[in-house]
Amino acid sequence: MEKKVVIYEKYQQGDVVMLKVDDDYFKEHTNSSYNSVVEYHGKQPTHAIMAFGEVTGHTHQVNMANMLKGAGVTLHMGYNQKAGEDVPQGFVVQNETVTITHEEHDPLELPPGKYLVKIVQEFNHITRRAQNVAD
Amino acid sequence: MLQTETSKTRKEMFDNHLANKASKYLINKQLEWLIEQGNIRESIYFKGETGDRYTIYIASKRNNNIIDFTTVQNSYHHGTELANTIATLRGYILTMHGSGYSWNPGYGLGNTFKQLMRQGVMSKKHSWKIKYCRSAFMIKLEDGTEFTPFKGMQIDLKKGTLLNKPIRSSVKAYIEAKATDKIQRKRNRIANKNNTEALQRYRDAGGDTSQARQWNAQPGEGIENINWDMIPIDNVFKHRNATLRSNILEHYGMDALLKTLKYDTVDIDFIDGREYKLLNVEIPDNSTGQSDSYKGLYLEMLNPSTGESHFEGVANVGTWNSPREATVKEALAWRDGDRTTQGLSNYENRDSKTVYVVPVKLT
Repeated sequence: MEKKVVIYEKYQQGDVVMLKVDDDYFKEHTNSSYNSVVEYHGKQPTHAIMAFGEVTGHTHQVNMANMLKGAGVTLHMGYNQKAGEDVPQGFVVQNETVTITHEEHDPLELPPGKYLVKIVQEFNHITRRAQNVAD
Repeated sequence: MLQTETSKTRKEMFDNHLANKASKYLINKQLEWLIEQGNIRESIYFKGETGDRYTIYIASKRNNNIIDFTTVQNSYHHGTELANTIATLRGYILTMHGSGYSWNPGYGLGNTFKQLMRQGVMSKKHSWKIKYCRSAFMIKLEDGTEFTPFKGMQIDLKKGTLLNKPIRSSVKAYIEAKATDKIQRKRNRIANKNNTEALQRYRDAGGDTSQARQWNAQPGEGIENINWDMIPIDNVFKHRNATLRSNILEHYGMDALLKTLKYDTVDIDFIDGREYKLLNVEIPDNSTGQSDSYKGLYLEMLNPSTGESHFEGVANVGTWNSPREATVKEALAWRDGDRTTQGLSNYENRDSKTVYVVPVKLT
């Protein structure tokens, strides 16, 4: 059976890769009865955090207060994961473009759509282990 | 009714021998009985020891002086099968012919000889030892003779001596294995010394090495009181413990470490105007004793926002779940997990040059 070709657009801010995928692929990789969904809305004093730097304390986040009123971000958290502490499996940007900021990277604009989140990996040849890049 | 000896069956005589008489020359009493008292076409058999349970060894008396040793597979086989001839006994002289392992006659013969030893086919008073060392078996007799077993070797089971000269391939295998062993032992000695000294230095500097030995050890534990001036950067290669190596690496940083190492640039690529380099770095190996150094791939790239250069390790080509070739694009695809996202294993899509998806935007 021929595999379905996965087509996605990649947005990257440092060690965080956000893949803009179609509805089916997004559903396949985020949908579980154990998952939780957290919603954020524009012009509200909250932050949608995509990744939290364990080493530096820096965050990849959307400051919702600075977004347009109609903008919305919905984080899809995996089993036993908490928004603001863990990396979401994916998120949905609704209605308006949002901007992700980080202390050491330029802002990144994301158009509305469904995104999966990945942390890039590296191989530590000294300890001989593959690991996620620690920011 | 009292049985006279002449009316006893051969089986009873055999059992009586095993129960009452100590063997004189061999550890295996059954075999000694067959040599001393067995009739032509009588045979004994025994199963292999632990790890060799599926082999049945059969010794059959061909004539008054010769016993043939063969093996068959112990399986649910309902037909007949041809046995493998492994050795011949002329009196107490054992001649090795081969083994049941046709894929590697050298290894198989040594292994078969070892299995016979484990079953007591060995001199009772002049025993010998066998070991597998650096890809070759080595037999050490009581008189100090040491050699790699070979096809046609003759051992006197009474005296525990080798009766013929080892053949050329046996001598070569023995010499090579000994030379490899010597080099490896030296490496291990140096590696052990490096590791011991590095551990001592780490403790003297105020570090806690005990936490790093726990099964759930995490980098960053036990470093609160370390005086890093007492731990040179090259100690990262001397520790055998990965957590301790991580701690030192975390302190000095990969960029500082790489500046001390030799490397080749294996690929340069420009993606959206950004320069990426793939480096093959020679990393000293002072702790494992396996080699003097090994290679590791690193991506050198610029942070597009700050312009700073930094390095990230990439799995070496040919290892599990690694890039398929040493190119910048393959390394970036591995880093970003593009292959996984596209549902491709390492063995699929071999014809395509790369699966790297260039970011729409990268900051």
